[in-house]
Amino acid sequence: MKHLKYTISFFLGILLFNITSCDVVEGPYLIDDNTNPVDTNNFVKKVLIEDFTGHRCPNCPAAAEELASLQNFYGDKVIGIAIHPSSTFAIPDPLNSSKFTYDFRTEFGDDIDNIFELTTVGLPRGMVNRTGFDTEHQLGKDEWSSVIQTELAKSPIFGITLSSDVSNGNGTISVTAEALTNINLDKTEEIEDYNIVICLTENGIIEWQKDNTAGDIEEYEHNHVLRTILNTTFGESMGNSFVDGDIWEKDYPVDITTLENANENYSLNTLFMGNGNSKGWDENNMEIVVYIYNTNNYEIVQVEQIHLTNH
Amino acid sequence: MKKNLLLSFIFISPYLLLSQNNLGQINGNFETNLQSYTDDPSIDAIAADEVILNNAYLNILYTKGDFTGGLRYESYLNALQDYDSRYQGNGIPYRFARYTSDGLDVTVGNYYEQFGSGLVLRSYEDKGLGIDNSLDGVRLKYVPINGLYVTGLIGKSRTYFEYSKGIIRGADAEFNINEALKLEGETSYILGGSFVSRFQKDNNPAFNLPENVASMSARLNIMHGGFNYYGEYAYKINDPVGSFSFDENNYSTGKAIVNNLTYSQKGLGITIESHFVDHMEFRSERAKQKEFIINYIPTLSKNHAYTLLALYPCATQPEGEAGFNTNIFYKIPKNTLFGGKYGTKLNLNFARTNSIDGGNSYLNDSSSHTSNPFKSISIKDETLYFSDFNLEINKKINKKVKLNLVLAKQKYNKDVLEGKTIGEYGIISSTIAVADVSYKIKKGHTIRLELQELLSKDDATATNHADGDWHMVLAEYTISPNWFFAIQDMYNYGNYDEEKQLHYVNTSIGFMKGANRFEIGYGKKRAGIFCVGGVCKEVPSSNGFSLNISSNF
Amino acid sequence: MIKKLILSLFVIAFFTVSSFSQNRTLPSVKVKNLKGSLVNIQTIENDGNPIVISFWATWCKPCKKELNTIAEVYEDWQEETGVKLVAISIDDSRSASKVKPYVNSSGWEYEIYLDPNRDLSRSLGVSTVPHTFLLDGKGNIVWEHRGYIEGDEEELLEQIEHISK
Repeated sequence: MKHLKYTISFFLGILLFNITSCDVVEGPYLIDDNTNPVDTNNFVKKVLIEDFTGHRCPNCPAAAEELASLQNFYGDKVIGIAIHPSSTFAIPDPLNSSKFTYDFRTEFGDDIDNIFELTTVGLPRGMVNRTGFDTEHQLGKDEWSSVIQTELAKSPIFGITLSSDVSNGNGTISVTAEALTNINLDKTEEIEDYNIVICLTENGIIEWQKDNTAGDIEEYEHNHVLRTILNTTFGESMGNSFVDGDIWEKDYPVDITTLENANENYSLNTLFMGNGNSKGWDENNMEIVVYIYNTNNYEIVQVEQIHLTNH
Repeated sequence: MKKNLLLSFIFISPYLLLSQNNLGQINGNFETNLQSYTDDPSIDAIAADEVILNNAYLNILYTKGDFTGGLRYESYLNALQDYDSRYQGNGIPYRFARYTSDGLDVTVGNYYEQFGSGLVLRSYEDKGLGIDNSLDGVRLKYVPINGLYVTGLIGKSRTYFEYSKGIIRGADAEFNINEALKLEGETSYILGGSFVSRFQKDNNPAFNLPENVASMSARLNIMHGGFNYYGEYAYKINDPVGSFSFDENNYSTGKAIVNNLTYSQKGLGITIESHFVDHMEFRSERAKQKEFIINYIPTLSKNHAYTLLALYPCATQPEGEAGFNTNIFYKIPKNTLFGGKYGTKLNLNFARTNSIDGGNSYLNDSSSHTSNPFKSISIKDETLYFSDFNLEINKKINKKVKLNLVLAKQKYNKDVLEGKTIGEYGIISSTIAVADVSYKIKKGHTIRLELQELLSKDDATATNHADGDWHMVLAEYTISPNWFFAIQDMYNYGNYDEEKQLHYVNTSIGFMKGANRFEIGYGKKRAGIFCVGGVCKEVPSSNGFSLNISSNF
Repeated sequence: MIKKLILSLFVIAFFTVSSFSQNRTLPSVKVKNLKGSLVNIQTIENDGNPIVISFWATWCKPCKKELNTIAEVYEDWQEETGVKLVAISIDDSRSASKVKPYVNSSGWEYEIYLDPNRDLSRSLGVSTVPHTFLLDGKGNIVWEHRGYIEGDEEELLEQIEHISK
């Protein structure tokens, strides 16, 4: 019976601790609805959310809404890319209906999904700066915000500056990356490259979308849709060690028609149920998204975005 | 990972050094499920990249007197297609040490625990469903006075090979009045109460989130003669998921009420169960995902064993549901008109679940929600989720022939239960008949035949067609005590899409001897989509060989 | 490194199995009786006669077939060998309330216990039901069998007769 006293105090302790530590929130629930404007004079750490989605995925609009809310709160610091990978949810469905005929899929999105396997876990899912690979990178939408908090607290190691003179489907994108600190100067053995990836996304594509409460929505606005990547899915190397202030720069020619045709070709000739209905890109709604990642662990260390046209 | 190994060593190594006499005992079991996947265009099955997938488990348990230590080695190389792909690789995700001393029962490491019927906490393992949310931490159980059982625990809940972020603290007390007061009367009473709280830091700058979310319940069990009443009430404080979109952060409180009444005497059993649940999914982490669920709300429907009866299975909607489930078991006595020489067993079952009056509670909206659980069990206005009316007749005709018949009428709200778009499939009505006959040829040799038929009617208001009508035939030949051979064919002859009118044929051979069991199978599995907690997972159709081996030592 | 550790751990574990006590007994785990009281499974006894422990569930066809078949001859078995059958239901809270009505309506005379969160079945390595154990008069597990096919009850009887001599 010598344990009796301890045991009872242990149970009482747990019970008391529990009861006194019940956080009933009476409201207001929302602390702060303001967007945080980005200080444009200095480079700040930005975060990329890759939202894996599909037009026939009824739970996916909720994830798109979460992304929009996060962007509304964090402003330019949160950048999104919506990837429609080749799972059932993104496959066009011309046989059964006239609704989901558009093909949002791209070769690049499928390549990314092959590595990160988000479709095998079930959609909607996303990655936040691709952190946590390869066990904790497949995040449900409710897990995004806490990873964003952690990521934004880090200081940036690169700054990216973008400019574009694209108009009427042609032009050049200029990318400049600057090391903001010394990176890997003493690395002698392990090669740890930083790769840079240049993507084009499109906002405001009005097409059908399934939704588990609203049903089949005819005029749903699809945003941040990944259209193409200009320098291959996993980008190109920028090197592995940098001195504070090092500059890396490169220009990329853009020809929208050629890129559109390449995508149509992928849809028509490579994909299950592909129908080539993937065109109609509107350069005025397009964005350039550029990110730099560490090839060792795939983690994205910096990301930047500007409009493709009209500066 | 390394920590786990070290711990297991600490658990195991002392016993290796002990003297030869009274070493204690070691026992355990092993199981492996191997499956090959080949392309089969006829059912849209695609071969797995790995060609062969395997799940394997080894449990080792060491006991010496009041001390028990154990571990489970799990291997997923890679996980079978119907498992979550986050079960990947090898590891020892389960290890524990437990001892009892003067009635104090201490567990350190992983443990499984259930409070009451599980409304506020159930940590359990079901390999068939891919569920394992064991808690890792400390658990104490103690019996301070006769009839009073208390449990206190603290731990983190397992999700695949990781642990979720929330810390779970819980306490439960059960008071058996008859044991405590040494009452010998015909009536007995058991009271119980539980309290569970989850801590997770609020790192959401937009919302004011509760860091400690509590869930509590009280229960009562009264037994009198053949009657048994069990009631439990559970309550959960605000538990928003912590997302950034205002619509998703539901601050409302949760509640659940369970009432079960049963009566039985020799030859007759009656059960009436009902529940009302509203916003009662409790998770180990502030995110709406199935892998974090740590409570359990019993499903109100009969758990069918025949394939076509379980083709459209009911699943509890913990965010809002009311329903009931009644059963009558009756054995028509021997030597009567319908009873025959051996008697006839009947089981009549009626179950129904529907949405709750006024919809699920949601604190951020303005509509009103019912607080009266009884008003919610309404047949008229609420959205139907599932209903099942069935009769099972079990009869031994003579020494050689046994017969089991089931007739059922089911309604299944595919949109709600599978997370589809509302209006896509609507409510599927089906009529199912099953005949199961076994015939004993000679000593130890038995042949069994199952014929099943499912006739289904699509919802006229829905935009899509469901799978339509099915036949199923199963033939099984068994030689006791070692062998069984089975072949079955499921034929979706009534599919609206003629290209999908397919046969799914499966064969299997099993060998059993004592504690070992081997089974080899070959066949096709149909595809399905499973949606839990707002996330959908596709299980693709497949074609291939399977090998299951299980053994105990 | 880690793989080596795991390997060596299992090699050690397997080799030591042989040197441990060969008498396997029931673990010290509590189950519920139909009156709702917790009972340590080690306390079940049968005056030195054999005990059969059968794990079953109300939703399991072969389990019910096994126990219904034995129910017809249970009296004869008891007279002949003094055996007692303990049926442990692994029904969880979804179906646990149907155990007593099912047992009573079927007229089973067995000793019934509930193992709703599978604590006992996990300790005994029961991964599927039915799973039957045979204990000799001293409480040692002398035989076990997975699954049930018609006719298996005869092998069980042979085993009981073998140890009750």
